[in-house]
Amino acid sequence: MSETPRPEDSEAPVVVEEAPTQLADSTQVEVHQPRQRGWLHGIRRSRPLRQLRRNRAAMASLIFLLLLTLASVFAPLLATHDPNAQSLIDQLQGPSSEHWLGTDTFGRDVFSRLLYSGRVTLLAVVQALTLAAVLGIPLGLLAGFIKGPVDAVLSRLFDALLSLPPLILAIAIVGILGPSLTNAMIAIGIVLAPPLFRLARGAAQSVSTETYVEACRAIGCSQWRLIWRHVLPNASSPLLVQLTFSAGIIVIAEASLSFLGLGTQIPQSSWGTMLRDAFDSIYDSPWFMIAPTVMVVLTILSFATFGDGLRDALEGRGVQRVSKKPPAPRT
Amino acid sequence: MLTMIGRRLLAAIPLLLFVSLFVFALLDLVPGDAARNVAGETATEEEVAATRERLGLNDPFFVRYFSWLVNALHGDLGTSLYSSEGVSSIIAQRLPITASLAVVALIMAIVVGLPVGILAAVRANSLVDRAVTALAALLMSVPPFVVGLILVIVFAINMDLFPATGYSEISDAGLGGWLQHLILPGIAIAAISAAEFARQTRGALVDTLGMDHIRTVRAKGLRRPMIIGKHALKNAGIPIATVVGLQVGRVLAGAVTVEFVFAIPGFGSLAVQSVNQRDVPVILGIVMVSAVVVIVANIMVDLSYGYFNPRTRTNA
Amino acid sequence: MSAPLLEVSGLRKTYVTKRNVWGKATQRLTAVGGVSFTLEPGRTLGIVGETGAGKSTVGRLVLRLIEPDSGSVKLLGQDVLAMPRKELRSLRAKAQMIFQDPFSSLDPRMVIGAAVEESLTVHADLSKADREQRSLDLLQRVGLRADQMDRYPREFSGGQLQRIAIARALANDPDFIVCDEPVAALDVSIQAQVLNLLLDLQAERGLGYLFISHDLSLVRFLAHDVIVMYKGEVVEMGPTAQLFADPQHAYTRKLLSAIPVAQPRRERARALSGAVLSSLIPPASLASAGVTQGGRPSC
Repeated sequence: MSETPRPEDSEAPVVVEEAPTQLADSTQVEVHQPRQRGWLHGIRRSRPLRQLRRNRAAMASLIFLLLLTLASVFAPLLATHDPNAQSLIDQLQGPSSEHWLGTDTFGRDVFSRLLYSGRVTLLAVVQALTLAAVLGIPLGLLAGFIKGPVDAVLSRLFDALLSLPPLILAIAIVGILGPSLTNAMIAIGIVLAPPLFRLARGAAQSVSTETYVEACRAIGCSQWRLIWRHVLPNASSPLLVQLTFSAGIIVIAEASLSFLGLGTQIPQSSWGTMLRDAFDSIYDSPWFMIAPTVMVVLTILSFATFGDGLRDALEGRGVQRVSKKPPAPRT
Repeated sequence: MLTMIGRRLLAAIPLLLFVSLFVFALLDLVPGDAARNVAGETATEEEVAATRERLGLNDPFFVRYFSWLVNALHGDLGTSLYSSEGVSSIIAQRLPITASLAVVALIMAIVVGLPVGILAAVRANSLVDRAVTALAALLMSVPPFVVGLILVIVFAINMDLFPATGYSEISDAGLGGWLQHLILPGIAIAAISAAEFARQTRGALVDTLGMDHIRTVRAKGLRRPMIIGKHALKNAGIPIATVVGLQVGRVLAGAVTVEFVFAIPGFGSLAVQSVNQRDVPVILGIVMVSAVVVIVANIMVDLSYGYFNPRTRTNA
Repeated sequence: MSAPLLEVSGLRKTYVTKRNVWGKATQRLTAVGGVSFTLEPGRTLGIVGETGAGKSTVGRLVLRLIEPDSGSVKLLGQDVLAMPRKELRSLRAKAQMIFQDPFSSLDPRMVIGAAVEESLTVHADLSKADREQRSLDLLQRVGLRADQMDRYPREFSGGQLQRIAIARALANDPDFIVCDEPVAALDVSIQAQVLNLLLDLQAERGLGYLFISHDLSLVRFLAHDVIVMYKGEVVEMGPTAQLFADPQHAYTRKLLSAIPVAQPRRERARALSGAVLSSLIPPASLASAGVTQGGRPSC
């Protein structure tokens, strides 16, 4: 999205009488430039987005995450070495022009491993997040909107899931399915579904009492249409925020499970397995921890910060701070 | 008050039933033959069949679930597939270790997080406040086991101040020896919680300090420490109590990886071990016990609301 | 005389207000207790009563937005209550509703063009271009401009929103519209344009209105016949002029006497004024004051 200045931004709203129509309209209406229709336009001029763009921490996080995604996608092009190529001569080297971040106990290039591991980690995030969203959101919307026995049963089920410490449940599920990255992500997806379910359900409940939902029923919309076209868009803000936070939690969970040997398996590696490798050689070469730790922490921090910014923007908190309250006095 | 406790406990029963049914059903999906695993690689077909009969694996699902449930209500969570020890007694050995770790961690988190949060709230929007907020955000982004690894490297390996691994009972090593083993893992688990405490305390206090009744007591001429200590903190109590409740589950989860790092023979390492061994009864027991712990913690949080906000006493 | 547009008889709705431990109802509130009336095409039936009298419930029951306990509703010759959901949905093309609060009756996340178009998407088998054209026509008919079509509801005033809601209700050429306090949330100065629009549309399209209001003066201007409701019951019913001139029931008299007489009403009449006033009162009712063609109350 480019930062080209738009006329609406610089222009003070001009208030004039509405053009004479068949009705005598006594209200005064702001005159806007005729706009081209389209979703892109709608997004670009949305107030939350403008506010989000002003949030420097959130934008920095977003840029980091985008760079990370790019680096993961193009890992084969960017990697200087085969991430799994072992070389006993090169083992335990410090950073050099040949090995930018040095080599590990097996003489593998740490920089290349970091790139490929990031790829595995991000893919894991996408998988688990998708599963959590698919499990939690539609069921939550349905339960909140239809209510009745469907709601009662689903709510009990997700409440039960919610009363378990996530990592313990995830470990139990991995224990059942067998240790592998996919199974770990299935486990994490299941574990992260209940909060999404709850949010979706609550949002659907509050939206379903709005007059516009009744109005749409009066028009003759089907339940399905109501849920997808009206309830979901109106419930999307908190869900979007929660999904962003969930992504951060998945990075933690993936790292934890892989660290315990229950996630990513050889020959693949993720940041979690790199941390495990570092742990196994902690007495010889503790500095191996640095690279994966920095990546894990930055990624989690970015998801959390971006989520915070998104929430502030969507709830209009920042707007309030700017327009309603005077800036707090510095003491 | 008593009836409220009773009602909450009553409500927890169907929740636990649901949890147990869910987990039991999940465990039923375990691929592979538990009986063959137990009987051993070299066992004959007959031996495997006999083992299966002994473990009751031939019964229909609900029969097995029901008998497990009845036993569980009597405190018997079944027998480990590997050590042929009772699951309840295994967990009973491990849980106190994790509990002491959790208590140490929670105390550290509160002792650090609460004052820091109050400081940040009192000096809202100052440099201190922003530093605290940023630091809290950073700390919350570090997985507990990574904190543990860093602590091991710095304090155990480089400085040799604390033991890197292991655990000793108070009865064996005395209070000092016991605590020495718990300091580093305690900090590892407490880091995220302390950050969360600081953040929530700050948020709750800033909101409370902006309320009308605080302005009133300030107008009455009450001094600042008095206002914060007596009036504001009590109102900020509810969000803080909620965080305490949430931390119980988090500490339990953090214990899993941190106990692994520090080789502490607690509840968390039991979980890892039983998953690696596919020891179904133990996994089931672990999940159930942690569910009970979390549910009880939640009930206690709800009850504390009554103390912090008298209005909820009558109608909950 | 044509067949009645709407025939309602013995409509009842109660709400459970208390349940015992086993979930059995122990206390009920009667929202609507046995209401019957008839509405002819192209005419307006006013329902008045104080807050909580069950007026709005009647409006929603007639469209089956809530399920009644008993009674029958015949709309356009079809039994609304016996209908399967699917047919009910297609009936809703012809029977519409306008809500009290224009600010919440449009989806805040949907531009108004799409909101009007939606009812066409649901019912009519038109191409995208046709639907857009028709939505534009409708919005222009209610006095909005083409360039306003892709704006969100928050960018409009209450009066504009209510006109948009009317455009949406008109999308499928309905025969019948329930107007639930359509101007109660609007400034008095804006009420006139909305009411005018409703009257013009009735003259153009022969719409039948069920006009629900607590404002007796509005009902007096708009409705051919009036029903007075009190605590879920109909206490009086009849042609508007007759009812206002000679109220039979004590409650009606009380209600009428509560209208701030003389000045405010006259001032409002003046505000609607001259040419506007004549269009506000349909010719038919000007001539007969609704007496000769008065709907036959079935009670």
